[in-house]
Amino acid sequence: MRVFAVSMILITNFLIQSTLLQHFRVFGIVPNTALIIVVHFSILWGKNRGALIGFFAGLLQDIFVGNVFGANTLIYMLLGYNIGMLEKAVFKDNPVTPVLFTAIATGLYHLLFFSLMYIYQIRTDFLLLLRSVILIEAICNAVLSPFIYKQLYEFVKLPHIKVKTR
Amino acid sequence: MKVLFKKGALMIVTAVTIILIIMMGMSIGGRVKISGPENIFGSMVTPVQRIIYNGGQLIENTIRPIFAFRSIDRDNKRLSEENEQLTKQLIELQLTQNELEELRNLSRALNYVSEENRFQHISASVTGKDTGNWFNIFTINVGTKEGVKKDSPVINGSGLIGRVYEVGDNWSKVITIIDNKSSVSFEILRQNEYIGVIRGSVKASLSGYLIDPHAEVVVGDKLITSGLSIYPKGILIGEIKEVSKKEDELLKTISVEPAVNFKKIDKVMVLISQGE
Repeated sequence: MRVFAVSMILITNFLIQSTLLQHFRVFGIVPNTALIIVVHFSILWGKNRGALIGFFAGLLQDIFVGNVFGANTLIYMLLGYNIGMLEKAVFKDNPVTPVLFTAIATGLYHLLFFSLMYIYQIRTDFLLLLRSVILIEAICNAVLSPFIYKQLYEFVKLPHIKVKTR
Repeated sequence: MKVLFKKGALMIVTAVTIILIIMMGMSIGGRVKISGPENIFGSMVTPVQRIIYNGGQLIENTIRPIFAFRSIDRDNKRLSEENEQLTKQLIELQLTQNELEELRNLSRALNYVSEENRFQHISASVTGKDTGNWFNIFTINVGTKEGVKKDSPVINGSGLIGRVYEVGDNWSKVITIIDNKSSVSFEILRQNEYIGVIRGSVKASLSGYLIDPHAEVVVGDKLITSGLSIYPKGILIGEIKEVSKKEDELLKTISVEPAVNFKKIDKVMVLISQGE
């Protein structure tokens, strides 16, 4: 049941992100809702589930719109795992937590993506990227994150979804 | 078992990381054939995406004009001026057209091998776009069943869009020319001995260089594909926006305004070569 619900969330998110959100770009930037969801799940559920959810969220993007197969999968998984490590250290009821983590994760995502692309000979101008993509996307994601966090926070409290995280 | 899982989580993550890095290396230039599960999954999702994409477009098209009435008014004036000019041009061209028709007949009479009709057009609809902001990729609802191959050129009414990157049974990924990974060889429409290469960037703009540093190009010159790369000759790419020549470089660099509005792509055409 839990697996089914989470995978439905991921698929629905992907469908919306690749279609509906494309029509509402801010300065040509589309907010990365998949990243937000991965980050929030790993804050709420810890590193193992965070990594797993990150893996599948990334896989979904890679199959359809990925340029280099595996890049998103790898980055989401690593982000989910590493942010999930802080699960016990963060205060989950604080509304600042999701905003902060989402902004940091957006920066890390692009940094990792840049390094991966660098390895595979796809060179880009990092300063240009920082100015025209990363900053705007970090703000977009941070603004969206409290709303998504609220939904997910209530979702993980549902009786048939609830997990014991010691 | 549970203890093993707890201790082994880091191991699993590390192992998967290594496998993924290897997979990325293998799939770098776009794979010729995608795997079976991907294909099936793609075929299931594409129709749904198509419906939602259309829905989004409908909402956007309803809302956008309300906020953009000023620019629409400005456009309207500009277009009506352009229309007058074009009507004049049309009459002139009509005369040349007749002349061309005669010459075509002549060439047919002389059994000249025709360059045209080597390509078949297949129209397709956009089903979804890239979710990240790194690349400019979108998916369309045709695939190998319709005869689409990897690297088939994709165009629409206004000009060149890009090429097919990966193909499934009835869906495929298209990589646009403004993507930072693609490059196109072009020639200037006015003076077709001036050739060069343009490439996209993360900012989704086109820039490139001319091979001849003394080429006399001006802002507003139209670029078409030269036929030297995978794209067939004579597809409109865009207009020159800026020309610059640096002292220490041997090349003349240009930045180009693409003819296609990449923000609003809905219907595209895939060119499929008939030969082979």
